[in-house]
Amino acid sequence: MALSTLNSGAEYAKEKVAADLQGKSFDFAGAVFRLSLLTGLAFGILILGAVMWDVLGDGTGFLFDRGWDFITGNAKSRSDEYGIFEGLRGTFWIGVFVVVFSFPIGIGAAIYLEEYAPDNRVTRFIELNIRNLAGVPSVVYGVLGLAIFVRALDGFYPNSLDKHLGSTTAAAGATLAILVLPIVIITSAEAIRAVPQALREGGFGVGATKWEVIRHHVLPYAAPGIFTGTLLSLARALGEAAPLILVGGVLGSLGPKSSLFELEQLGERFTAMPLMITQLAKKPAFVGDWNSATAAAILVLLVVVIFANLVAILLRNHFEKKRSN
Amino acid sequence: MTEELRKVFHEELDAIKNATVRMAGRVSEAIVRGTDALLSGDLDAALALIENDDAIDAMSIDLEGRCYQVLSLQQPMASDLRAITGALWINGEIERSADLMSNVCKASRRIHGKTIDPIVRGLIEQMSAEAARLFRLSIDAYNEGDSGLAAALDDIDDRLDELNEDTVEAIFASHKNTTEPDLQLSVQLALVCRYYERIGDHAVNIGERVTYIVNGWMPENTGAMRAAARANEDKGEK
Amino acid sequence: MTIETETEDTDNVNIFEVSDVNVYYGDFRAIRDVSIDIEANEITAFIGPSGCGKTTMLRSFNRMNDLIPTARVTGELKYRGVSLYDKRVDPVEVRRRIGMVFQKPNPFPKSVYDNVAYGPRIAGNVSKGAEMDDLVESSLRKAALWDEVKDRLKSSALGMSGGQQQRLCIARAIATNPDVVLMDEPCSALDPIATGRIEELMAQLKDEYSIVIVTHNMQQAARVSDKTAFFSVEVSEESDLRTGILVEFGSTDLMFSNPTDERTENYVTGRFG
Repeated sequence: MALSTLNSGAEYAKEKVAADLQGKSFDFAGAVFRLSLLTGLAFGILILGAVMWDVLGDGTGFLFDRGWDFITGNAKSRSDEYGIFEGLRGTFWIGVFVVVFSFPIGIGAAIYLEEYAPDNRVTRFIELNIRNLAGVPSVVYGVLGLAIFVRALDGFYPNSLDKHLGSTTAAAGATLAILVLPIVIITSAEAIRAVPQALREGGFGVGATKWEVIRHHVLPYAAPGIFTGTLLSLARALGEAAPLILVGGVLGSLGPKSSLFELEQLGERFTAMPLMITQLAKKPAFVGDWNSATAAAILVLLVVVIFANLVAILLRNHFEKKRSN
Repeated sequence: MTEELRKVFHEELDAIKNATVRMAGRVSEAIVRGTDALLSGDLDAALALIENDDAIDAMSIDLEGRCYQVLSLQQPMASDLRAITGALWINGEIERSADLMSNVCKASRRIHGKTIDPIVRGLIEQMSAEAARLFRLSIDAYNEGDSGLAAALDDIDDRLDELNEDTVEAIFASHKNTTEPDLQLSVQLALVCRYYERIGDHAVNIGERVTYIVNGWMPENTGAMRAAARANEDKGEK
Repeated sequence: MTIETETEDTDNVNIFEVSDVNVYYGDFRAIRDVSIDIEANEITAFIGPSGCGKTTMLRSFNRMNDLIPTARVTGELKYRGVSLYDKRVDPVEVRRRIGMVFQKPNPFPKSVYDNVAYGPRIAGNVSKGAEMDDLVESSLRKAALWDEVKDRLKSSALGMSGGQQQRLCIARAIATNPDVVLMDEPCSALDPIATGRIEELMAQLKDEYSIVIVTHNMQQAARVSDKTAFFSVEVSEESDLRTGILVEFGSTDLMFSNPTDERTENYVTGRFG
């Protein structure tokens, strides 16, 4: 009898525990939250899909029809003769300026801020301002470029003519290099800050100098982060139109075609892909096939930007592999 | 400021000490009752006390096991380490004292029915009382961590040593007028004296352990230091 | 409870002579008036509760505190008779002679070989090739790691177990042929077996190097060290500031069987708050 009571007691406890563990009610709030997140994601993808669909639908046919001619041709007044070479060339040089000036200066500034600068009010003030600069609208940088690189440095460029002042490829490149500089500094600084202190201590512990620690340990470890950040900022520079308009980009043809790599054009007038697209989009829809030409130009710019991102991803993977190996 | 972080461990240390003191209490009782049995010739009481020793042995073994357990599981340090190693030593001294009383009872079985000389009786009574006192004092010193009392035990023991000599002399004296001395009785009584005297020595040993538990220093250290100093001097001369 | 009988041939050399050293972080005084002499070819353990400044003290021996901009050391801290905080002393050279092993294993994200070779390589005193191979092998052997890694010298150090990584860090530290190895809780992230290996290793290394180890584990200090220093925290009545102080320093067996200071006694017996 006693035994059976004990058994039924244990049986009861087991049922009670099972009920407590299994009797979970449906988490309504969690489900709603999850659904709303999913909606947000779906909305974003939908918009992107619509844009891509529109551009691809309009542009691919045109691009295939015109082929290489569209890429290497100059801007013409007829849509079936129009080429985007001048824009690509300008965009290429802007990219070169960003890589040559922004990256070393930005990464260098980041190393200084993270590794050398004393942690005091001045440093914090500077950091705060760099963060703010990264959020300044690009048009403002256009005004800055206009004031410094176009007006103040007019005459500095050997080939600049009186009538268009200093609105040169170099001025455009420098303006965009300045535009992305704060972003390069911030992303690089964050990548450097993420390097574990233990790694630095390990380096110092075996008698490495500060420079050796930075060169051998900090930078290799931060490299993936630095490359991701800087190349994304390059993609941003390649897509900017507003500052270029202020710096004085040409919206039409630049005249006789010169080669992509000729250094002389740095001192000459310029145009760039975003400017060309702006111009193309403004053409009348009923004369020629400007609509398709616009889409095709957008497609080309997208390919360029995606290529830059792809390089960023590949470089990041390469350095991450190196880091963990 | 001092906050107890190892409560369970220190409670176990206290428990071991209390159990040691309880065991000592039984031995202290056995000294009195064993002497009674001897002097009154009460064979049953003597046999009961011999059996009683088994129980004390069991307590001792149990305590020893608990000490080993604390040593291996708690890694005691400093005063805790001294407390536990001290308890192990003192446990041995107490257990040995109980064995000695058991020997007294065995002796009283052997000389059962024989008459003990009144002077020797008186001296044995005194020795027993002195041994019991010394033993109790040593346990008091242990229980209260009284290193002053512990240090005094060596001097107090002198009285027991004197009584021992007196008793042996009295045993000789009691045989002066007899032509046929009872060797068995004499030898057993002399041994009994020796047992009490030894209990006093164990009490002194307990006192030394108490000094070590409290101060981390034993009287033997002084001797060891002297030996080391002499060894160094010898080396220096060569 | 041993008797000091080794009075002969103990012509001991002090590797560090510390007198009245204070370490500050900004206005905060982390340790106060520490004076301690550390002997060569011994293992000296620093024990004490959290925040008692034992790691701060350790890191001032190879000027690792320099990495913290606000850190400041006053008083006299001599290494083999030379004042470590003299203006003419180059901290990089100090760290080559006084190596360090850290709390968490921190191998470089490089191969096993490159981890060990890094220190000698930047010091520039060992050329590449066979000479370096020998140095890497001997360092790994001393760190009792060679047999485990000899077939995978070129693979990443990050793929090893925690205990192996820590021994690699020890190999890395001794590859520069230092005089002293400082260890900051080297086993706190390791399991008992890996810990046992490192403790064994320390006992072997002490013939060649002087070792100073900070540990939270009192049993570890008791097992491995010759001398033990007990640091404690002093809380100021007015300001509630906590300052590390050296309470007691002496031979390890005495510290753990019969400490002189009541605060040491309370700490090692677990009566410390």
